Amino acid sequence: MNAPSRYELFVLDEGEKAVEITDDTKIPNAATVKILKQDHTLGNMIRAQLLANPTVLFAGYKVPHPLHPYFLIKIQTDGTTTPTDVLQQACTKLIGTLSTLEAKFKREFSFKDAESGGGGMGGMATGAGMGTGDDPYGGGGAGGGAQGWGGGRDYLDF
Amino acid sequence: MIGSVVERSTGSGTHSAPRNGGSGKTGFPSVQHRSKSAFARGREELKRKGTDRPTEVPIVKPSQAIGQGGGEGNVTGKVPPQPASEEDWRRQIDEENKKRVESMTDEEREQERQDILEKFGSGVGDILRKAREARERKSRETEATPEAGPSSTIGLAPKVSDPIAPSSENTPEGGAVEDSLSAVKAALQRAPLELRHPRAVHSILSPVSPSTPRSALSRPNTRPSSRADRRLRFADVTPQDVYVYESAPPSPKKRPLALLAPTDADQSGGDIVSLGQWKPRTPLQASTIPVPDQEMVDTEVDTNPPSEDPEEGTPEDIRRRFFPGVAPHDPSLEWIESSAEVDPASLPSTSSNALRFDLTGTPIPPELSSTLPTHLGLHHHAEGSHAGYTLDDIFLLSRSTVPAQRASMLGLLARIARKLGKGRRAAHRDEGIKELFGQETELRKRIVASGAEAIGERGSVGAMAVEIFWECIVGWDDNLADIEGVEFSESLSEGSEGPVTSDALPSLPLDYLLPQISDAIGLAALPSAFLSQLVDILHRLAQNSNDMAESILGTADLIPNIIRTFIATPLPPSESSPLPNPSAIQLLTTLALASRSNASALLEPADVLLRFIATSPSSSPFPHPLATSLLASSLEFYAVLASYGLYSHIVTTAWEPFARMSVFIQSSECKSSRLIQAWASLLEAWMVCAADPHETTPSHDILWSQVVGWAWATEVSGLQSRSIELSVHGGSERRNWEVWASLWRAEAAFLEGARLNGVRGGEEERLAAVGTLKDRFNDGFEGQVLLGSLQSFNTALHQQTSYVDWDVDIHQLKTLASLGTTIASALRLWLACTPPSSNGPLTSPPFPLPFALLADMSAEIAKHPIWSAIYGENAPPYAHLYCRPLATLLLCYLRVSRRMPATGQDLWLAQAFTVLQRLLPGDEAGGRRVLKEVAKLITPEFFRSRSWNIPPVIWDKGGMDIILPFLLHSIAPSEKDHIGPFWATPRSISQVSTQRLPSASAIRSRKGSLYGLPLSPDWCLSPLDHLLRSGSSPVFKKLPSSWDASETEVARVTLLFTRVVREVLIRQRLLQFSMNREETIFGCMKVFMLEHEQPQNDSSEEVFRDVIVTAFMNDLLDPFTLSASSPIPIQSNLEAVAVRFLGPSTPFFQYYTDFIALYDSISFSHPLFAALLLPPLSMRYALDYRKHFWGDFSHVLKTVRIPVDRAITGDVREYLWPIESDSQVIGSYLGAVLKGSLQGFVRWIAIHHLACNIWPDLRGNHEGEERAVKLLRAVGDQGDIQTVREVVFYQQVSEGPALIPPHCFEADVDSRKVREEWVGRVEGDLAKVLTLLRS
Repeated sequence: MNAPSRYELFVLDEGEKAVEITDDTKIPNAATVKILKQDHTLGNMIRAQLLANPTVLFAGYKVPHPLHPYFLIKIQTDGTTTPTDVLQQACTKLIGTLSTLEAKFKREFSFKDAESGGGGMGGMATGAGMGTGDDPYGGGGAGGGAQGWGGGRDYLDF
Repeated sequence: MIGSVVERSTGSGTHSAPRNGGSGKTGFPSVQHRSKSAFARGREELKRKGTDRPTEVPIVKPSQAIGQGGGEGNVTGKVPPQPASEEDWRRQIDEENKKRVESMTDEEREQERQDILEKFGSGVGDILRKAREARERKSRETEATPEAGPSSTIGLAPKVSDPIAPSSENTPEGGAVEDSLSAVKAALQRAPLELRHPRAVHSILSPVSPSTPRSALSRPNTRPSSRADRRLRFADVTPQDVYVYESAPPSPKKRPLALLAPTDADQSGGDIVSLGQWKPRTPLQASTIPVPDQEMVDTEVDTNPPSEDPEEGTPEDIRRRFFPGVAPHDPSLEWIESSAEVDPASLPSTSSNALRFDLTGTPIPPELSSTLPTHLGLHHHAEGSHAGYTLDDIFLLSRSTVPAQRASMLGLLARIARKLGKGRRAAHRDEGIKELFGQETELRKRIVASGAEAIGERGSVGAMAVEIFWECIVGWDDNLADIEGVEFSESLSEGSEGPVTSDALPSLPLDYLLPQISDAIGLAALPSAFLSQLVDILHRLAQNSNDMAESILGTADLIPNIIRTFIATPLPPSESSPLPNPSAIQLLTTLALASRSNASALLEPADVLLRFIATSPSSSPFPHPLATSLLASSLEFYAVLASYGLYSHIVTTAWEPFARMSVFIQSSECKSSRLIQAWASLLEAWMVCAADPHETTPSHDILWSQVVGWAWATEVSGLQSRSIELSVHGGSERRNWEVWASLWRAEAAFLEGARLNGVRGGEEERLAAVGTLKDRFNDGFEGQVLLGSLQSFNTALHQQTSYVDWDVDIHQLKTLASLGTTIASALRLWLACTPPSSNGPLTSPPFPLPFALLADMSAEIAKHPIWSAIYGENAPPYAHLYCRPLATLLLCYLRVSRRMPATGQDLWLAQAFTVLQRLLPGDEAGGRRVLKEVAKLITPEFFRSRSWNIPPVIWDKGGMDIILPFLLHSIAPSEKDHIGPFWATPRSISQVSTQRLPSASAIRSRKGSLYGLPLSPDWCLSPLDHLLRSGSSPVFKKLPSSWDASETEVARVTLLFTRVVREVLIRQRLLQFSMNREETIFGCMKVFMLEHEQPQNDSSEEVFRDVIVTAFMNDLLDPFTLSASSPIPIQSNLEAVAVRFLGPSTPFFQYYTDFIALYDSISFSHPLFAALLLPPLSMRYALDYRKHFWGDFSHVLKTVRIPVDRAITGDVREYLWPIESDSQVIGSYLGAVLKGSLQGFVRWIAIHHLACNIWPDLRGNHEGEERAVKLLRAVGDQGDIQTVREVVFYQQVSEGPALIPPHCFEADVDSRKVREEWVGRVEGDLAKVLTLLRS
């Protein structure tokens, strides 16, 4: 009833900034970064990436409240770079890693397509046949199945 | 099982013929089974006996006898018709008849003849003659025996068997009949044995019967004949016919044996009196019973051929007799053997089911239970062959509907309960039932339950139920009866791990029982002994717990009934009327002790007790000891009421009787020290009430002016002089000292009251008292009392005890308590004499005390092991009651010590911190006072004088004042429930809700944390607990508005105070009172956990980042790190320490996961924070901690950069041994090491466990070879050179101090060789490792 709208979990409000960086007043080379409209998915990745950096002395994050869509990440470096820089580096690296991952994934997938040849195509066609309609779960079961089989026959006819 | 009934065959012997005793041994007709109709039976009888008749027919023949002896037919008519000895009796009868005929006159003979002829007709003479001829012929033929005389008159014999039917019916029978009969007769004579048994007759004769001349007899089965067979005959029973058989277990026949014969040793002891030789009462030897005929015995022997026949009643006998055609041990006949063949040895003799009790509750040995005779009354249960009752039998029969049976079984249960209760205690172990050791409490519950069912019954059943209750409740632990002031009930442990409560009392259905008891007392339905048992039971129940006491009081009419029956007895007593019972007053006292509400409810009946005060024991109508006891009990009851500030007006209302009583007590007539003590205690209690009239309920009940007016001070001194007289006259020393204690307290109470109410602080009274006291304590009697008790106390204190056998130790404790009370009372008197103006050291003491002795003694009391022993698992639930005087003594001494010039501040503080941990529930007020004084001492000057460098910022918000409310609360957490102090004070009398301590187990489990005392060693950290739970903390709700300290400030002062406590204690070498390692660790964890779920983002707001807080925490933890000079051994367990704060429902593991998560998110690798992560990772703790830290939070490992020497541990080996064996954790070690991010202590630990899992010389065993190879290969392949080197050259010793880095990375030559050899043996590419090893 009073559950927050789902979009609030990932859509920034008016005037909100996605990232706020506060340098710690007490600890040298330390900062607390508040990242809005994000959750453990990003927090954990960034934390892990930061810890891989030898100049980072400490990196940790917390999600203060499960219903508040933001997390805090605390970074301390050894002084050779600023926490902002290491966070930027970490994010860049993370993007790079993820792009590589995506590229690799796509390439592998296309390899798979190529290897299986026409069968793969047929499979795709079947899949398309299965996936008709907007229903993400494959529609009313029997109907979807029938269509799928229909697609199969198309392939045989082909 | 009943032995087979042997029917005496009707004609079994010639001798029996005249007696006609044929129908049975006893003269009664033999028993016939009635499953058949009378008609059918008649038929059968006839069938059986049909053979008899024809045997007699021939006898009818001689007709010539008619004339002579016909008249005698009726006389001999009852001759049994058995043919076996026909000739004998015939001869006998012949002779008799002859004699008779000869003795007759002629007229008589003529008369007889006429009669016969008239009856039978004229032809009868011929018939008889024929019969006679036939007989003579027959006897000539068969036996050639001389025939009886011709005048034989047996011809009338047929009448015997058929008196109704005319004998003429038989007369036509001729020679044919005779022939066949003789054949039968011959057959019968051939088989005389079988004939003796009716069944045998039947079975043998039946094949013959078709040839018997039944048809010739032409006997239709008509009524007359059957009637003839069934004729009732009554034997002339002579004493010889009566056989009394011993009642004995029928099968197998055994001789009865009641007891084992005494051994020679017993007899030589002389305390066994022989009652004579026991003679078995078999029928043959019973002297009072006629011995049966010798012939009878002979025939019995005859019937049982001795060589073959088994004993009667045995299965073999049954088989032979009833199943002759079946082979022995035929499976189909198993049933005849089964019941008789129960072997007592085969029963499980140890189990309680096999245990059988006789009627006195003594177990019967199994080998005896099968042999005891039945007449002892031990066989009335389902399993018939064993004597005695099992517990189940008893419980079953105790629900019997037959009141007598039920009562006797309940009585038996009561006796068993008594034995169980005794055997439970080690000293009486041999009196118990050893088969049931360990089951006492469970059985007690069952026994009590069966008593509870019967308590409502009238008569003996009800009385026996009372007996059961008495045994199970009062008699079970009879040491408890005199113990007042503590609850016994064990608190139910909340976790399931604790033993289920061993107490049977909470399970009692009090709602049901108490009204029944009330009725029983009200109606006086039971004998007075049972009624006073009921009072004892109620008393024990009231002792058990305050709840029970309240429910006793809440039972309608119970108290009025008790008072009517036991207290308000007729006055003056008549001979038949009962006397008052002091234990009923004792019951009222106990009830009043339990709670203030109880005491208020008892105010009304309190008036009744005045009757015992109004008449002094010397003029009382009751016996003198009883009157004294009643008076003392009443005074004690009033003293208890006064301890709540109740009922003190009675002394005003009834002053005159009290004054008379006081005169009596001071007179030489009173010799009871108990009375003096009771009166002195009552005076003390009333003076406490009078000290502040606003504290009594209702207020102004008694006024100080009255106390002065009644001159109670002189009263007390009068008692003192009387007590000196009594002491001189003897009596127990200890008892006299207790009396002195109460007198000193009364005097002290007067001086304390005068201090509040007197002119100028009661200076005048004090000076007067001091004037006499100096002499009295210097060289007077009282000085001797104090010295004597001090010396005895020291002796008792130095007794070596282990606190295992509490039966013995409790006596030491009792001695300590009694003597401690005396010493403490003297100290109280001393304190009451000190001037109130100053609080500091005195220039001179009011009167001298042996101060040095007291100082040593109190130090020893505080360090005595008793304080931890009383909370031990096997300690009695009331042991701590006896520590109360000791705690009070310590408190008094602390106050004395404060007034002494020789006591330095440090010493006094150390004493205070020691005593605070020794206080018990009820000492809250004293504890609070001590704490406030301590807080006053800890000031900036305190540190300056010791040149401790303390940042001045601490004192900004008030220093100790910030945390004092929390500390005070930790001493007395409960607002409502006040346990009365050992000695009432003007403040306590209005506040206390109960005068009884909770039981030891309740204190141990801190149920509901009602009791702050006794304090745990980490009590000084308690403000942190309140900070952590600031939302629910009751202290925060009532803090004054001026209190505005921040979390950081509270934490600073708390940590500082904790440091002060520790420093002071360590300087006075009182290490056992300071916090141990685990308590310190957990306390510091709490400081970090203050940030748990806190919203702030900036580290400057975090408490643990505060420089002062960090410094204090480092100071606290320094002595416990590896680098500390003197390692402190491991004493405790974090999990156990944490329970006190977390409660039983939150495990420490949960707290630890939160702690790691907090570290992970906000710590910025705070070094102390990181160091605190490590202690639960030692191998002492569960695997889960290591899995959580090394596995789930492996990413934080990089930030834990603790040098080895900063690790918090007393002995680093707890991290090293035993070697980790869980492969998941080893995998985590490997992963962390290979990543190369580990540093310091954690790296060492990981390398240690890896190397120890790889190298055979460290592994010790030959398992895990495969894993070792894998690990080594992984290290060799992926590790950098530093890691590989450390792993390869790692060495460690399991004995002695551990090698710490870098020494542990220098394996010696021998182990290198071993490892090189091993590496060479295993497969795989380990060139890198080999090279290293060979270098």
